[in-house]
Amino acid sequence: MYIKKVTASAFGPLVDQTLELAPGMTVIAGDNEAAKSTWHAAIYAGLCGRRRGRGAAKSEDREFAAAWRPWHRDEWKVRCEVVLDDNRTVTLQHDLDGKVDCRATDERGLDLSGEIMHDGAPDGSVWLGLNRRTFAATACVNQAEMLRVLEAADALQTDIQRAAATAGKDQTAASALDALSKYSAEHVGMDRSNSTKPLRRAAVRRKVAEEAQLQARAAHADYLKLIGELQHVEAAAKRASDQRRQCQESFAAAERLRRAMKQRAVTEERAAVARAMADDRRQRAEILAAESARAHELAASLPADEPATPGATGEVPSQAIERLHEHYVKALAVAEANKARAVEPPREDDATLEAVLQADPAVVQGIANRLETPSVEPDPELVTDIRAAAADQQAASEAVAVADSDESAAYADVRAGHVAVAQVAVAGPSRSRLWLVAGVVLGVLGLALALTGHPWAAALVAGAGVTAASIGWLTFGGEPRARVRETAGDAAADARLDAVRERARAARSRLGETERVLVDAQTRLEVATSNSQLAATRRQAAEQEARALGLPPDAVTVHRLIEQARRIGTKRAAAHQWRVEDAAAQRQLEECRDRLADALGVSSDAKSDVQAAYSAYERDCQSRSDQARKARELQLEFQTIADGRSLDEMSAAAEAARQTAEEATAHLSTADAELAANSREVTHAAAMAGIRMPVDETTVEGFVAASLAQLEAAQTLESGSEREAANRQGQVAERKRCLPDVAEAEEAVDQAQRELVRLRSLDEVLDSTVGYLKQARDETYNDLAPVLNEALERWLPTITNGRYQRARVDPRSLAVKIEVPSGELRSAETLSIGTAEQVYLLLRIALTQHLARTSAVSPLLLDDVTVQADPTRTAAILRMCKTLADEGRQIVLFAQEPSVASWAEQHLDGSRDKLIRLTVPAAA
Amino acid sequence: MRLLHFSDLHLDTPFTWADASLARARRRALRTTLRRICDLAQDEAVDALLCAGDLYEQDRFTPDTASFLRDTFARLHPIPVFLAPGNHDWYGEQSLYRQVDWSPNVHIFTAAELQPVELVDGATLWGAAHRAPANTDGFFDGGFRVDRGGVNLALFHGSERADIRWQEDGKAPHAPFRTEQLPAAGVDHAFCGHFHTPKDARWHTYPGNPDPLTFGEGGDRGAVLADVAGDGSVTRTRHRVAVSEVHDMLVDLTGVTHSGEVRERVAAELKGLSGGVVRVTLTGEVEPEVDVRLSDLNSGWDFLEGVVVRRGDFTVAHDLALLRLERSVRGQFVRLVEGDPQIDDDKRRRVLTTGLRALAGRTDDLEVL
Repeated sequence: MYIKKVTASAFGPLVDQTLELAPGMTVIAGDNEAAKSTWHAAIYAGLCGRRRGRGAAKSEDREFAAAWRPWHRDEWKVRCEVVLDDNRTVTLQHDLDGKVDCRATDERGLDLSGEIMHDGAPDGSVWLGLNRRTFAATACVNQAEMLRVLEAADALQTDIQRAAATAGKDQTAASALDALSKYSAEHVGMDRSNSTKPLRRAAVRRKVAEEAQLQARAAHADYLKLIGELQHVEAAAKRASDQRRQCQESFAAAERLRRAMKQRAVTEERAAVARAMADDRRQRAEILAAESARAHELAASLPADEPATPGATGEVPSQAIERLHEHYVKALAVAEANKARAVEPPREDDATLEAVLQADPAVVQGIANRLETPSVEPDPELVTDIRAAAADQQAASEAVAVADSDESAAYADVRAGHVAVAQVAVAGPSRSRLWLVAGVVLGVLGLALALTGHPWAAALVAGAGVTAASIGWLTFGGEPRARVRETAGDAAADARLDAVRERARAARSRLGETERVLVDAQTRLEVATSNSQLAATRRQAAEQEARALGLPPDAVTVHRLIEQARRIGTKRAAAHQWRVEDAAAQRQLEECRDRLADALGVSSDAKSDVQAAYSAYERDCQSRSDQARKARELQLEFQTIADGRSLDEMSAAAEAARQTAEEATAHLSTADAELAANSREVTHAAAMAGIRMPVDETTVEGFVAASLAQLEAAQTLESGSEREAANRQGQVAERKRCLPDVAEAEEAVDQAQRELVRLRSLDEVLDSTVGYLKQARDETYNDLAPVLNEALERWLPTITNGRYQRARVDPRSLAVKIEVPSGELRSAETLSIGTAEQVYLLLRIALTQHLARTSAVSPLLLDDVTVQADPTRTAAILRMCKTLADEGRQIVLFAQEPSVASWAEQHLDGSRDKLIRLTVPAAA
Repeated sequence: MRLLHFSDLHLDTPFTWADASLARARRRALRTTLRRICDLAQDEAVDALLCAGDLYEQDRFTPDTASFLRDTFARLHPIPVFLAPGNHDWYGEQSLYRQVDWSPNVHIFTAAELQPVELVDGATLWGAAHRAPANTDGFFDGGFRVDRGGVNLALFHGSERADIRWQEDGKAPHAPFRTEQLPAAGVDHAFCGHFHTPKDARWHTYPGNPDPLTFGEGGDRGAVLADVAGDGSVTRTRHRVAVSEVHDMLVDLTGVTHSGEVRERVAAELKGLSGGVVRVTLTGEVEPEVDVRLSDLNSGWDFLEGVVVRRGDFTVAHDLALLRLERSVRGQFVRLVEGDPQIDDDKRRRVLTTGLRALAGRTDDLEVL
């Protein structure tokens, strides 16, 4: 196929311009701004049109539109006329903007658009087995592509690979595979333990979620199990509670039975009491009723008034007469008794006795007593005693003198040589004796005074005598002792002296004793003498008083007179008393008689016979007494019955007793009913307790004890069960608090599973994609490599003027190696730039031909591919293009170099080739 | 006599199609729906509330659910509540039904055979329970027949055999029965549960699950207000009691040119909705260059309870007919993939798209829906 003509109706700056191309090589030359690129684009657009698919335009479409939309026209149209390999001429008309008027028609006007529709618009490249995208990628070669191939290492291979991969300018298979691998590594990763990529994380997450789900389900099952156990425990607790309740009820029934029995016993006692009380009340009521009736009867039969007392004034009651009579009888008895013991007063003519009777008895008695004062004379034995004592005292004095003498002798013996001492000893005892003698004399004198009735003087004298004697005694004993103590002699003399002194001391002691006896006797004599004198004085005074009263001064006589006077006085008093009493008795008698008489109503003249009146009165009283007694008996009976109550009160009491009896009877009925009720309660309670009647207290107590024991056991069981239930409830509550949500756990597993499935699916898709892609690459390369190799070997010697004969394209990588003259294979990129350009163009041509699905030969549009080439390379490219064109391929070469135009003028003959010169349009 | 009938609430069921927060919200919605049912019972002054099983799920229920149920039904007192356990809330030793100290107005049928309860004078409700999660025989298979006059109603969780064909897939025929067994047993009407698709038949009623459990649930689901006449005839009125709705949306992406336009298409379809959960199914054909990712569409819809996006017959508009003619690596790749009989169509589609994207240089989006 070749492009015959392109008409740019409105395309960039071109308006209604047509460019006719040669079937072979067409060189379109022109300077910059000569619209070479515009025509290049217009040729491409005229052949391929624009995509008219759904959605917005692609970026490359937008870029194309921005570059080539008409500058001054609204419509954007281009038309192309092509000649197919079957010589059909087809006109392709493209409304590039509205995309409506796009069609392909043949000479006959037949619309062939359907044959070549691609992306919504007719595409002439389809007849080549390409499309507008792949045509642009393969058949259209521009300056930039050439430069990229020439400037970059491996660019040629990459460009070939890219074209081989997508027949376009997308990724190479290698880069696609690399991207897939990278994506897989990043977004999927390996499912290995040390991986941190999504697939591993998802697997771990699912595992964790599954474990959590298992735990949640297990916890839930465990919770349900706990619930079940709790229900069992609670059921057991409920059974225990029911059992405890039953035991409690049984115990309560037993207690009730016991209470009922006790109550019945109490009620029985109460009923008995009530019965007794009812009987008592009834009897009492009967009694009171009888009493009331009797009282009324008695009251009816009792006399209205008291019986009159005969003989009485009517004003004096009988008892008073009785008492008056008794008084009268007593007074009479008294009077008679007085007469019987009449006392006569004694007669006395003695004047002395009469004087005594007249005197004060006490005075007389005192005189008599004083007259009796005895005449007390000192006891003669006292004198005797004094004399004996004086003799003893004299003897003792003599003995002392002897002892003193002996002592002096002994002392003289002891102290023979001590004359002074002896003198002293002689002088000493002489003074002492003087004191002693003086004492004795004074004592005797005192005694004499005492005997003569001068006791006080005697006492003074005797005292002086005792004092003098004491002094003499003391001086007599002391001096010899002092001296003795001062002497010393031989032992015998001393012993004798001591013995003598002992005797002297005994003598002196005896002397003292006798002197004290003497003094004592003298003292007693003095006292006796004094008493005698005092008695005489008193007697004398009494005698004088007696005489003054005319009484004899004789105590005995006076006493006798006193006694006589007392007896006479007593008799006189008794007689006087009798007279007084007799008079009183007489008066009493008369008074009693009068009162009795008055009481009996005896007249004054008959008072003397009051006794007879009284006897008559007694008889009359007896008569009435009988009547009164009977009345009193009735009265007494009445009073006994009435007991201080009136008839009305008795009637009321009887009525009250009757009502009380009725009440007691009613109470008894109540008690009986209560007893019956209690008996029924006992029966009922026994039935409730399951005890067969009759039942005794012992049985009930035993039953109560057994019930209590069962109740306690049941309570223990219940409390234990309740504790167990509470414990389980606590466990359940605790489990509730931390019970995981099964649904959430399942959802988490599902989420994790979905994520894992997604990643595994992605992994599988990526793996498969990589596999298919590798396979496609390898197969494509294997197919393409020989084609490229053939194209190179065919054209390479020609275009390199035989310099390179052979080339080799690696089917694994599409790497191109050229055999240099040395036979070595070198990478095409390492050859000269010109050679590389030629190799590249050959490969593009080969690729284009290979990628085309048909046998049709594709035109080749080269845009400024020589602009960077030197003249030699430019000539080589042009020769190659000419050669290819000569082989039947349409080559359209755009160039701005004059050398190219010159070459074209020289080498293009105009039959199948053509040179078109474009001129820069004049500025408008 | 007026009754309110519901079933298959499935408290505490998992919502595996939703994320964690949405799933929790759905479970809360189930509870709210039960509250609404009870409110409806009070508003309509019904004589009894009937639940025909699957009130909750035995394997998943939480202690909180037990308290919730007790409290909810107690608030209905004195309106009687009759519960007939189903295969998910089967009655056993560890059943929630046995854990709760129910209020006096709640009656649970616990026997595996139909047992009578007098609803009102002259009306008897026969109920039975599933005593195991599976293998429950039909309640009418043993020759059951009512033994009393008046109106006889039945409440149970079972599968009407004729309905099995058109009911949901995967529904095991628990406690199966045939429609003709009902009048033969003397039952005037049966209030059933188990099938989630509602049905008002001559002799029985399936109310359907009252609150959506998944997508694609059609029909007038909810609670059924049944007025029972003296002759046993039933007049039914369906009430929607669901807290929120579940919507299924098809979004055609054909012609979109970029990912932003994809979201705009979805937003356009969701416009006008308020609340509820929406499942968006993507359909249509998009150009290979358009980046369509589900993760971009799951969030950002605050006016909805949740959005779940899935791929429907959505495809990428590769010109495979042309590509397979290419003599390039790409063409060969397409031919290889299309020609491999070992892979399924979905994988083939995904591999083709993945490979073509890789060859086109879209290396950041090689995961194909």
